[in-house]
Amino acid sequence: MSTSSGSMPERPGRFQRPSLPMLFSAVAFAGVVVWSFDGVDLSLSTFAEGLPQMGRVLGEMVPPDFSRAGSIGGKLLETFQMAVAGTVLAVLLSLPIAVFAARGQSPHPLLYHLSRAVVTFCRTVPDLIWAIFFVVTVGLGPFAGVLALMMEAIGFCGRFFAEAIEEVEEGPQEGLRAVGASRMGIVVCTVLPAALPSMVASSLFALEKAVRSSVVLGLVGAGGIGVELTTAMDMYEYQTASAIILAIFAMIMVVERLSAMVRARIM
Amino acid sequence: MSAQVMNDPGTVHELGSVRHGRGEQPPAVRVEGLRKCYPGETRYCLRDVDCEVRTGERVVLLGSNGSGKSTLLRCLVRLIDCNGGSIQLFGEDVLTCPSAGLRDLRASTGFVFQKHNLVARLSVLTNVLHGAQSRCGGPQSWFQAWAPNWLRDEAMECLTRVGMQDFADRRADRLSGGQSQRVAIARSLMQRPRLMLADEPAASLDPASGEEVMSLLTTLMREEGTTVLFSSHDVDHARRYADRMIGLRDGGVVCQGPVTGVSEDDLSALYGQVA
Ligand SMILES: Nc1ncnc2c1ncn2[C@@H]1O[C@H](COP(=O)(O)OP(=O)(O)OP(=O)(O)O)[C@@H](O)[C@H]1O
Ligand SMILES: [Mg+2]
Repeated sequence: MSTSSGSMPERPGRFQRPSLPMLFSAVAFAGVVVWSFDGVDLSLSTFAEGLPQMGRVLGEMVPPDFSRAGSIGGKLLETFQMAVAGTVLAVLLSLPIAVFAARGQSPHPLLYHLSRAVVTFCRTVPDLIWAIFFVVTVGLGPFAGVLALMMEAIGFCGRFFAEAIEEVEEGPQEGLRAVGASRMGIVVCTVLPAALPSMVASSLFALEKAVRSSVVLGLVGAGGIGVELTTAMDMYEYQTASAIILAIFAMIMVVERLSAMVRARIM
Repeated sequence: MSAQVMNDPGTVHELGSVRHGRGEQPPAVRVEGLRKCYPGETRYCLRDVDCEVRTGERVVLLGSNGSGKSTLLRCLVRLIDCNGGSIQLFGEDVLTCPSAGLRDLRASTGFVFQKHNLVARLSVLTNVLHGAQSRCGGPQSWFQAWAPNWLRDEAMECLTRVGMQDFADRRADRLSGGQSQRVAIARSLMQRPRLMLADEPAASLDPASGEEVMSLLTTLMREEGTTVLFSSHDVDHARRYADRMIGLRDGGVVCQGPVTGVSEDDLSALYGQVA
């Protein structure tokens, strides 16, 4: 019989001695953080000096002035319409792109890489830059905004549709292949039905995203409520601005709630 | 003696001596020297398989798990590619035919899978319509909502033959395993197949449903005079639903012949020590 003292296995320490690469990356990371803070003129005193100004602007924002509710409402509807139109166009265009960009469905490796590149490009270029591009090419107004929203949503839907398509189980596809169905027949009859719930959910997310982005597109003249907001701010009409911000907030809330409800239903 | 046989898949142990003349009609299936090695694997899982299924015959492919039954059946209609040998269905070369010809070959060959492989979110009727995809071409057989009436009637007829006519509107994922398998058979009927391949169609079903599916499959095919090749590891099913057996072990054919001539020795050659 052995006594318990001494027979206990040694407990590992709370912390392990860091390895050399680990130590090095920690130092490098700390260096990047310090360098970044230094580069942007981070200063507590400037922030403190700005505080009264912030308080003043916020103070001038209350009470919100809803006297221009009519034109605000109109622009808000236009913003929503832009988001819907942009998203629907994007969903329609994303369908074929996603089939080409899905491993296992793409008819040719070249098409696969090309469509992946298109989707990545759409996603990585920020919406504001798309908006500037389209304002320059098709002119000021909501149409430029719709195109910008569409490009961004293609980047989003293309990627998630392709992922949904890749995740579809192989069995039913093999079943139809054995029947002698065409590639198109297999995609339409087995892949798309199986990926549908996930694609509808992605499309609703894209719509929510588009509603949020469409607000800022007005800043560069691509239509929507953003124009009203910049104008109000530029003219120091802070009470109108706060009314606009509240209206935007309400619209985004409603869209997100509805979309969440639909998504909960279909999943 | 059986140990010798199983170590050398090249020698085929003929059971009985029933041999029909290979005269005017080409056999439904003729496989010669078929080899298959999955990419990334070192072992061949089909090694020089030679076998034949004559027109109108019901043949069972027997063998233990991993013996290569599914692989062989899939190779027959090129659901997977093989690495050598030759395959002929009704005299037509499967491995060299162009993709249009391949689709025709598949269209005239039914395939029932162990897992029914129906499209879960679509209705039973639409799933059955899909059997006509190669024959009709184009979108008319994609969804029952826009299929022409004659096609929907035909699908209903196929459903009636498997006793599933009352479930036409039901979504395919709301069916039991046995019901799904019957719908899968109806989809194959829609193809009006000359040859029916079935990969352990009863393996994932309970004994009663399995029995039902096997007898449905073989009875229907007998009515049509369709050739049947099914795999199974149920010796009892093999004896009752097939005329002839092909025994696979480790990717090689170790015996073939009429099911009535199957002895315990043959089974132990197939399944190792325990028959
Ligand atoms: N996709 C695959 N990739 C690699 N190896 C595979 C693949 N499918 C099957 N195999 C291998 O090939 C061999 C034969 O498999 P197969 O599925 O044809 O056997 P089976 O006789 O149908 O078995 P079971 O009775 O379990 O269905 C097995 O050793 C298996 O591991
Ligand atoms: Mg198998």
